[in-house]
Amino acid sequence: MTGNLLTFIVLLPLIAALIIGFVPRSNQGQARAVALIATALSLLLSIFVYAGFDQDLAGMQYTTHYEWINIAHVYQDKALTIGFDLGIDGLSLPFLLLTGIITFLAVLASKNIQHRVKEYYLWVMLLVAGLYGCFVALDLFLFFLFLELTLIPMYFLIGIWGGDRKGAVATKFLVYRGIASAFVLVAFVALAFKAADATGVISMNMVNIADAFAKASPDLITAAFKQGIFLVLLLAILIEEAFFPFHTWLPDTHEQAPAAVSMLVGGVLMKIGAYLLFRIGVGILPDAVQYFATLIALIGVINIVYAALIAMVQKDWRRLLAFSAISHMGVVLLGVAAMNEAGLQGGIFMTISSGLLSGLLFFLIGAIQERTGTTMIGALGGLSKPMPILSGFLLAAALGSLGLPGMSGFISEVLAFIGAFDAFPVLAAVGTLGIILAAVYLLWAMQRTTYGPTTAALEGVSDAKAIEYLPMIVLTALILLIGIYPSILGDLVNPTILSYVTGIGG
Amino acid sequence: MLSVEQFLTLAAILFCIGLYGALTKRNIIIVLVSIELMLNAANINLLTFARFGLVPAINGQVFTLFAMTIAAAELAVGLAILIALYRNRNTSDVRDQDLMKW
Amino acid sequence: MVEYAWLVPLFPLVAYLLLFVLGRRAQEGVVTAIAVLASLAAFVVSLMILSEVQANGPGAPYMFHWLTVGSYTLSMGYEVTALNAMMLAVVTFVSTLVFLFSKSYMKGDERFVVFYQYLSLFVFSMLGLVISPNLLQVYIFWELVGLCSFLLVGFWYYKPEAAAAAKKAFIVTRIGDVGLFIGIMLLFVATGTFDYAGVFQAVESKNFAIDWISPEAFITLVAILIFIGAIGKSAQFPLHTWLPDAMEGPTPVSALIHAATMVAAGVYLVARAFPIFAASETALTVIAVIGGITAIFAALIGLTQNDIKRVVAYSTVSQLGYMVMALGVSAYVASVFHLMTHAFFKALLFLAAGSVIHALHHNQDIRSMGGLWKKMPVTGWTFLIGALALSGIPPFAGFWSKDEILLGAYASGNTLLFVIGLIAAFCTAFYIFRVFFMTFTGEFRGDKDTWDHAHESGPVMTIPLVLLAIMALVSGLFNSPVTDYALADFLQAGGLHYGAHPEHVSWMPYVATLVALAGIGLAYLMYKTKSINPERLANGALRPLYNLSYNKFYVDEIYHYAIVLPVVWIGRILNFIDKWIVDGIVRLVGQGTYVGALGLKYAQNGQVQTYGLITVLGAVVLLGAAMYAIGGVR
Repeated sequence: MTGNLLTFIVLLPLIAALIIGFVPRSNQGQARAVALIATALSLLLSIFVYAGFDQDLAGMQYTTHYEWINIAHVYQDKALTIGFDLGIDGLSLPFLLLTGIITFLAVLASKNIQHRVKEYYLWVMLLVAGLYGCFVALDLFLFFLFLELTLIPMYFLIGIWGGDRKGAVATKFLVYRGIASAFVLVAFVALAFKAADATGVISMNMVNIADAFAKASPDLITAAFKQGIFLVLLLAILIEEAFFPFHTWLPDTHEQAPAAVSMLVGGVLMKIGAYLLFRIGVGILPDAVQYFATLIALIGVINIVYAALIAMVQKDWRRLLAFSAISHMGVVLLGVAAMNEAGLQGGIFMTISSGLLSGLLFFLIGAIQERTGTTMIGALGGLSKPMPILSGFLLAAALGSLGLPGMSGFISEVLAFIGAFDAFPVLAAVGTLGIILAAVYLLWAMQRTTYGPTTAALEGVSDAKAIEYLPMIVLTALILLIGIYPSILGDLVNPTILSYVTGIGG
Repeated sequence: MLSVEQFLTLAAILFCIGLYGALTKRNIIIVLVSIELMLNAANINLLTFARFGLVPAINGQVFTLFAMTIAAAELAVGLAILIALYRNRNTSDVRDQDLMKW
Repeated sequence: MVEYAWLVPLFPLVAYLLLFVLGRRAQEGVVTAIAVLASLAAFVVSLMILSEVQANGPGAPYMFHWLTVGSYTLSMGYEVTALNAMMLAVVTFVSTLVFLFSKSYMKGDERFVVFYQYLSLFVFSMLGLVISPNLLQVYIFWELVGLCSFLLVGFWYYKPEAAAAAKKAFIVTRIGDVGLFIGIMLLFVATGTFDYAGVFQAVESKNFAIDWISPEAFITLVAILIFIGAIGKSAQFPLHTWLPDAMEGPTPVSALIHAATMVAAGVYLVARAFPIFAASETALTVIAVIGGITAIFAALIGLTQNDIKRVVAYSTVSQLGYMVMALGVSAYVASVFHLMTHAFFKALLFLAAGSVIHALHHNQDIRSMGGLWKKMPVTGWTFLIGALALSGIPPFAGFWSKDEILLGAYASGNTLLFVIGLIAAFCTAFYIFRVFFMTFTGEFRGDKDTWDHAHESGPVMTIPLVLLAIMALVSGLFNSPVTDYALADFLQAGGLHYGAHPEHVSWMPYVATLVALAGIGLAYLMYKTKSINPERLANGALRPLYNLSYNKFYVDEIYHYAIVLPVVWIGRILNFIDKWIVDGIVRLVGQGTYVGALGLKYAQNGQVQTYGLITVLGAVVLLGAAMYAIGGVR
């Protein structure tokens, strides 16, 4: 049973998608119910995985292996093996839990989708399966498959249920991430074939590849080769993670996508890039990451400051939050570039924290949009009076996002900056500008949204409904929990990080 | 005893005639006939190599039988489409069948 | 009792949680009771701790594990030193009285419970800040008190000025906080620890794991960075602009947060981390200069303000400048001493001002006050005591502590600082008595209706005033010849031997008192007897100077045009670049593809025979190329 837990987690949404396919179109409640049950079960199983996870081990746990594709004599007499390999370690477990929580809450928050409901949940379920799959796949081929599985559903989710520019934005999303996928594929194939030089078998299993790369002599796998692959991978990550100058799909996507889809994009989908950076970049090509450390840190700092400055002048909350997320993910790059324990741990913390905060913020903005019909900062004002609960949570989320101690953003920033100050004092100091600017743009937006006299049109708007309390409370509680007791996340991640850092040799 | 070259030459000539017909003739029926010629040229090649190839085997002849069957089926479909087209548009000129542009 | 120091912040935290659970339906009496009792309990425990520290000296820190980062461990904990023990007592004392005072002041407010929630959270954070044994924990609570300040300044959220002031308070202090943040990050990188003890040890041995800077320069850098945090929080020049604006919050908040406790946190931090500063002469000089500038600068602005709370706020800025200056000249004890006395008399002044404002239905303009002594004698008396203490008239508290600071400045040999201190003292006495005379003496200048309704506040408000007045009267004696400088000995028990009590200069008390009396006398002549007409002065030869002071030296305007607008414009320009150049290129690629396709689509002419011909030609070309590549047919 435990061996197949991860398989069930991934399969449940797929089965749900199948069932939704057979649900009559007229009965919209059934499709929603099936989706809710499937995501809830997957979440429960993920928590079960967490409960049974041995936090002291650095390696993969819950591994599942099925033979899948074996072809002899593919290239230079070497066999190609692709397996259905799933597994989880301290690095991917937080991502798995994040996926479980955000997907469940996003389905819960999809209540206001009234149009082509059955199709909507069908696509969401396929997307959810892809998201889960990305974080548990141990085989690069499988990972790539799941990565592509997130692409198409998202295209339709934006393109059918989006705002007034949905068509163009959905295409933009698809093209951008499609290009990223191409780079990912190139990097994966190069990795697998080079590893085969050392092992004699073209295996797509990332554990095997990491092993081969760690053990192979520098003559066989040259530093230049690693740097080359890493650059390709970095390009893919920069697009996936929406870093300047490849970021323009993200604000558009967030602006046009429905709130629940924005939760999925900002909460989980965007984090796949960061996961790739940790898993493949730091895990398999640490020397190359170190070689390009200054470049990565520089990109990180540029993103922190650039996105923060742009966020400051945005007129739409959703665009503001998109740029805010870019700025936060810049901190991840800065932490990773440091390539030390604190920096890496800070990077993972920041990724998870940003996922939770994005989920919460987009949920709240969606709830406000549902009531007021707008997300334009200028059209809102004095929301504290008609909706004190939503405003209170929005303030809490904004404070968490600007790195208030006691919430997850703070400890992430502290760790990432400890690492960064060790490696790049000057760049890190410039990066702290982001801390000030985050306060400026978030509080400025808060001041114009919830403070001040209530706009006449907004008098008497209703406050949070019972069903909305669950996402708000769960996400806020998790943000607080990580902030107050970071060990709950740190102890999970630490063994993996230590094994990476020892791999670097310092 | 005929040599390989002779068979192959025959096939090549047949193929070229077929190709010429398929690319230049205006009447769809002639185009279809030309396509049959090309198929038959290929069949001759298959038979030739089944008999004179490096590893003589029955495969080529089997393939040829398949090809002939499929060619017959294909021709049936083609003629059916042709008749439908003619009824609709009252022409059997290839150049008029250009709906699939732009 | 020292090992139970965690109880002190726990009480207000429990009160906060209780009030949070109770929600808005709770009765005002119950709410006040919970908050006041919790604060009182914290005060009692603080007193017990204080007496124990007095008897046995400070205890060792108590630490527990918080987070493992690779091979490092971050811990949290608590620690009681002499300085902490004193701060605990002061904070809990003032907050208990403010909690009591607020019951009447905030009566009937729609969000009465929320107010007490925020206040309790603030007291918890402030106490947590005080007992923190490491810099990371200090930073955590440092931000939390900033948050509470933000929430409470913006408590009346529907007032646009309050919302703007709250945002400004948070952002301006955050600029300072980032300095502190960088400072403690660098310290951790260099020493591998956040703990005060470990850091002090490393500073003493000058043993840092950092190679890009010399140890001496590193200490100076870190000290100045930490001090930048103090500049923000303690509203020192040039980050002082938020504090006067923060007066938009309810007056009890101003009394507790923006006078007695939070704004003193900057001074407290520098005092707590003093060994780092003591190791760098440059850093001390910077501190002294900033403190001196702030003291005189804010005092000059205070001379002409007409809002009763703003005058007291500028006075706070100026007094904090004094404390900082004292630290800069190594007069450690004098600074902490002034911190304590100031907490009492400034909280008193604010609460008395609050009492006046409450009686006049939230009118804060002293130009429309006057003659209130007759209506509110208790408030008048207590305000007078506070004003005398602030001016430094013996035997009130301010006299003793200000005297120590002036002595320290004089002893440091920096005559300029000493003179600045004297001038600021003169201004202080003048502006506070200007407020006193304009508010409590003469004829009432507001409308008759207000005058008829004005009355002395109830006991809930006057009891805190009286208690604080008593402290303003006697707290100076703790460090005076009367008690044989008990406070100095107490503070130095932990081994901190900085500026014990500087050598006494016999003429100093007389000069200081004379200067203060001169200020009071001038205010008397101008606003009581009216023998000097202040308006003629303001509109006459002193017009430019008056304008400069009245408009706060245009600092806000300078910041608006020199910093805020440029940053916003950079944002706008970047946004434009992002939209039209970065995304423009993206769209150009898209459009280019589209336009190219528009042209190429005409190749798709629908003629199946053309397609066939091209296919054949393509095949021939490919075949030819393949032949060429393998060297032709044999």
